[in-house]
Amino acid sequence: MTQLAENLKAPLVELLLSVADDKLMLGHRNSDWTGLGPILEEDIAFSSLAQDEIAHAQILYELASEFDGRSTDVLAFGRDPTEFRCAEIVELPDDFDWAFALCRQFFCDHYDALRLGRMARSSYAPLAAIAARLAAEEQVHVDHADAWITRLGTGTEDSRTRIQAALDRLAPVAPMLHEPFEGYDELESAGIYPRPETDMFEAWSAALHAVTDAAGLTLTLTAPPASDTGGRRGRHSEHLAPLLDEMCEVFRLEPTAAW
Amino acid sequence: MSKLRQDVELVEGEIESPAEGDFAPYVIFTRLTDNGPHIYAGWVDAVDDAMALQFAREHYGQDQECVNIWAIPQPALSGTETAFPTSDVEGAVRPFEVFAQSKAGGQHINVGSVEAATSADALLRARQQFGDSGAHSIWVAPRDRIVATKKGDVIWRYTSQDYRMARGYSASVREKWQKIRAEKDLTEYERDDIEEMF
Repeated sequence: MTQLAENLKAPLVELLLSVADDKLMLGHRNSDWTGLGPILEEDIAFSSLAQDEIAHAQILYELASEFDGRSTDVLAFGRDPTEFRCAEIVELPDDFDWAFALCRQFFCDHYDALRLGRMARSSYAPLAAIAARLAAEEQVHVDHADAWITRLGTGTEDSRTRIQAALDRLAPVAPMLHEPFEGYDELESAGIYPRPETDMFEAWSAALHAVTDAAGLTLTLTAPPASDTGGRRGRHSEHLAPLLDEMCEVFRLEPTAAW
Repeated sequence: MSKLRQDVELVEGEIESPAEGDFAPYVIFTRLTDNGPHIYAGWVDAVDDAMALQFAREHYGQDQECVNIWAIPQPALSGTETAFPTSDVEGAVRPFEVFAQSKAGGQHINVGSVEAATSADALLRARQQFGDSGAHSIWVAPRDRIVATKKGDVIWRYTSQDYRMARGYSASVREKWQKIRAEKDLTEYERDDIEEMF
């Protein structure tokens, strides 16, 4: 299918923005680690992954732009905080805690891999084509996160304590990644965002546990009640607005400037 | 760095280099096309094979088309020049991969393999077999010490990130300047400017 029914366009934009906004914020936050990574090789690798996140966001904004009408630049830099669809976990400052930054990647990368995997099976061909390749790249991110969680979880007492503390700090926030966006059900039944083979939360939880259990770390994840409203429906933490103020500073000086 | 972070204090001793000796050097070779050879790309330091491969993928494999990567622990390589004077390899007869550099400053390219029990023997055979064509330098490494990415592993990026490369940057800046120069208002501005002066 290459034509999209009128009533599915808005839900598709919601899906694309959910993924792209998560990635844009993650990429933005993580790019701050350039020059400050724990070792040179990892500094470069983590910066490189941050750029991937932004590149992925850009591709998804391009597709969203076809239905939304606004340009990719406006989607990225010209929206109010309430129009963003990112989850709280990507809004939080990491305060230069390496374990925090890594654990956040771990939660988000596994969720993105599942999400992109579903999108890659979409009945809407342009979405499936983009998602298939992004999903493959996402696997590199997952491998990276898994490798470090394993290594630090089984490393020294110091590394284990830090990783465990970061997991404990993020585990209550991370499940809201799963909050459904507006029009989720319509998109799912139309096969645009096809039904997952197994429950998303269970699959995500199992993938994370496979790593943390093997590394001797504890992880407690609880599916959020359906009544909880968060970032997917425009309700954000207090950290998003200042983040956007800074990120969009240059764009806002002259929103119509052509570069 | 984000201004929001300027007030975040770095904990004393938090970002220190690891103790010396934790990390060991690996030499990285990338294969750019399915039928092409592995070509020397550079080095990474890592604590073990898995980390070496992970870093190699992220450092040398992502910015160009690349289908496979070899990471070889430096002690497993031995060469005809002083970069690798000795090697720790000996034991049963097994295949060694041979890398030849055709001229000084060029890249070492995987040209084939030889069977040998020790690095010294492998190097000797490699010189006999591949040195005739005037190779400037030859390296050998036992195949069983090579850490490789799996077939089908995604290595190079789908998403264009040309702006990260020096050539991509200059191309995009040039394009922008040309656009600006071509703009009509610029010439109009210049004409007005001239009229004002005279």
